[in-house]
Amino acid sequence: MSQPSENPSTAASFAAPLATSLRHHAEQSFAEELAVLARLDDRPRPPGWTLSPWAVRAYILGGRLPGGFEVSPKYIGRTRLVEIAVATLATDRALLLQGVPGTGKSWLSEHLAAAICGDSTLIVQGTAGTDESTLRYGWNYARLLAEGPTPDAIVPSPIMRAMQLGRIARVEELSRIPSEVQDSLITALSEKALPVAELGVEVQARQGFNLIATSNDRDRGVNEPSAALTRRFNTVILPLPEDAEEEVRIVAQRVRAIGTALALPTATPALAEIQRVVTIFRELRRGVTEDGRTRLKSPSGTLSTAEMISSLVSGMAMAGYYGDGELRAADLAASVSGAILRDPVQDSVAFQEYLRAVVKEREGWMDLYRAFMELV
Amino acid sequence: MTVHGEPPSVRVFGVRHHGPGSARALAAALDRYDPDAVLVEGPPDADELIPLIGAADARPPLALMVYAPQDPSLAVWYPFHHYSPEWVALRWALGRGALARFCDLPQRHRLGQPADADRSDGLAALAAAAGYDDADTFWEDCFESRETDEGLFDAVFVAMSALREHDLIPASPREAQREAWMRRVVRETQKEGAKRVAVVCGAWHAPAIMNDAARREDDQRLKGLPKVKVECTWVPWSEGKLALQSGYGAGVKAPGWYKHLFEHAVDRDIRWVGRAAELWRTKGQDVSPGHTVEAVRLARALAALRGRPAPGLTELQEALQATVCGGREAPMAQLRRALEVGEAIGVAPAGAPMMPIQRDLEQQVTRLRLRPLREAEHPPDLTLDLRDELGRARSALLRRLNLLGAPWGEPRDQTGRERGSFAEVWRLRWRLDMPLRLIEAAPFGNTVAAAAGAKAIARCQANLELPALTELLDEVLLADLPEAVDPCSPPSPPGPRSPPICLTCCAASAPWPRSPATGTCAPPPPSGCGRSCSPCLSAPSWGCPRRAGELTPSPPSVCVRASRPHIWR
Repeated sequence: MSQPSENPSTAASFAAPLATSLRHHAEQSFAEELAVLARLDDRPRPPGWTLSPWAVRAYILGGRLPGGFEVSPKYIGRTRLVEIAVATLATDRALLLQGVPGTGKSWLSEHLAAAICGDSTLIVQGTAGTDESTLRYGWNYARLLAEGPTPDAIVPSPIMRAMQLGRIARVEELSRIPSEVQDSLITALSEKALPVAELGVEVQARQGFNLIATSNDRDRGVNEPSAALTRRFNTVILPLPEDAEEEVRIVAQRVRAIGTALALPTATPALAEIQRVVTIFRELRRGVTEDGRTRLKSPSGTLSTAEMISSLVSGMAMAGYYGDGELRAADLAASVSGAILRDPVQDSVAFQEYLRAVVKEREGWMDLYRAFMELV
Repeated sequence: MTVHGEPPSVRVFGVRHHGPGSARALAAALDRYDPDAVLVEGPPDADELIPLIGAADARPPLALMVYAPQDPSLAVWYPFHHYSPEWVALRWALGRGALARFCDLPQRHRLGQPADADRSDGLAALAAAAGYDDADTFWEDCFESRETDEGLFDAVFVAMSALREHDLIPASPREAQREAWMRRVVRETQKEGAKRVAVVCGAWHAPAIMNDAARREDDQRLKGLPKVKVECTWVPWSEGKLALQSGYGAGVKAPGWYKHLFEHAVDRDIRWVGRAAELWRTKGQDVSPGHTVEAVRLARALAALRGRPAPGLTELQEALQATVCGGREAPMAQLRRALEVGEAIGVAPAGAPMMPIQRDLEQQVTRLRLRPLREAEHPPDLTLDLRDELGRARSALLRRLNLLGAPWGEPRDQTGRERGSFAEVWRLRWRLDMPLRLIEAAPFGNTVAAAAGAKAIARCQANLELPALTELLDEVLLADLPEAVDPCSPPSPPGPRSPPICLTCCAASAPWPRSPATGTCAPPPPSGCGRSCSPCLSAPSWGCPRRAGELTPSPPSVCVRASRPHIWR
């Protein structure tokens, strides 16, 4: 088998240099934190892991290390779920992260992979057109025809590469993959080996190999994994934030980070502004106002945290490039209503009711109300 | 205090109430110390009731109920379970013939006083200092999971002394009184000649009992205590209610888990997962051995990650949810009730003091073969066939209990196969305050029937409105209380237009049973009652009380369901 290169995304000549790439991988953005954690970590590490499970937990949940170094929290939510995820991966079980879109499944999967093996790039993106060669291996047809079946003619999938290197493989959107293709994961997970029938060899996983899969449960066209496949995973369902405080924290942190990364010419919006957006999304999602008095119709979209973040970021972009650099209601209105109104007919009815019943009556929200009414 | 080589004359065993590790360690420690007298933290008003728990028919969970006969709403319960250290201590003493006594401040001085904030659980402060945010977790890790019991109680004593010294939580006068009483009981027991006295109390109080310096103020503290007359008895308790506020103030969040810890010293996590799998299989969910293996592995990994010596209840819950339930919450709810809380109700010893009405109820329960339903917390619905004696008697008993204000069950709508006027479906829930309610109803009579009748009469004499009165009459008739029908019937309107009686319908054809009260009976005269009703309507109407008294109110064998009374004009 040809020796796989250590990190193809940066080794190949067509990759963008680090300074100008649009979005860094987790192990690149947080390289310093990972290095400090590796240095201070004296607990036992499972074979193939660069950090111990306690250090991985500290990396994800944040905190202050002895020596004063502050680790930023990557996942803000129930700490127990993160502990279950880390314990699962430490016991060589595959992890399945489920939840509605926007609850941070891919985010958590990326950071777990970065912390555990320092490489979050071994991803399989599941789509309705994914076939076996994406999950197992493909062929370099020119070489295949020229030399016949040889180990050099194999194009390994990210899962096979992870097995060879002893790293974490990530499968995104497991439930979008057709069922017959999903089942080819079963052997990989239970026997930790990928047989190559054409060559009569098999690739056995090195210590440190594991798999993190994510799947949405609210989606059209999902293929539920079979019972045999589900049994190979430990499932963790990531919830939407229950608490408004928590949601504001998540949104504020991410907006700040993305704004800096995109070098937007707008200052990070004030906490009050973020709270307004979070309140609107939460009230519409839950179908009741924050004080519990008025019932509302929920629009058809999920109105998740990720959508809040992206609407705030696009509002900042509008303000920065088309406005005077300060985030105002008019900038927000377009992106927020874009996130809310998925179904043109029903959602606009629900939204207009909400505007009239709640937004108009609230103190200090008149600017938002006027901005929305102009659009809707 | 001790002569070298001789056991000390007083040893205090500070325990956690309902703590299984404490219970196991206590049994071993009592065997080693072999005291002549065992003093347990509990109400001395109930000292005479202690020997009853040695009986074979006393089955925990039980509670010691202390109440004021003048005002039964004032009551306090002291629950005991197999794994309560207090239970273990009392049974040990009864088994060895040692003196067994309660030593807390008697409830005759405490009942009815405003309860002060319970601070006897100093463990919370200790747990916080050790870095745990939960006192239960801390106790479990430090004391329940220990392989050996050597030095456990000494360690607890030292820990509690340290906490008290630093006075981390302010004292209350009630607590000082309680500890003073405990010291006094210890001194009295020693004066009576006990050479080795074992005191089993909440861990918090342990240092105070050994505190000889405070004895001078004890008499001062215990002067002028308020007094109220109290009675005590043993009553059945349920595992589910062990979480309620009790005389100890200590609640237990997951009694089933504690019971599990008590019963199994090794392989606890494996056995718990096994029981959960068994439970789910009976509910139809497939749980394979592979699932259980993975659940145990994940629980152990979680415990290691959190720094706990062994998986506790939270780790097992989370592991089961992630592996077997696929992350979903819903199947865990089934587990919660059945395994973590438990569904058994205890059985009080037969010798426990009971009011005549309680004894009558127990006899009727046995006679009507309702005992299995009495001992399960959530029994299946009971379907009664009113065409036979047993069904009618059971229905009458349940309705009489409802009249008394001590409800056992409630009638449900009929569904499914058992539809018909001869069938009744009852949902039974044995309420734990049933003994208390029966005690409240005791002044009305010595048997359930007599008391129900008397209570109904008392209610109707309280000038009820007509709709309420007719409802009461309906209940009385259905409960088969002939002597209460008369007084409960509304007065007849004057004049010749008195409506005739149509107590049941199809009178001509229906055979009338003999009423034991009136001897023979006759069908009502059909005068004025030209209307023919369907067999399913028996319409007790009023009119001439004299007539109502003549006729038997018990339903004939054919039509048995009383509906709302009609007004006949």
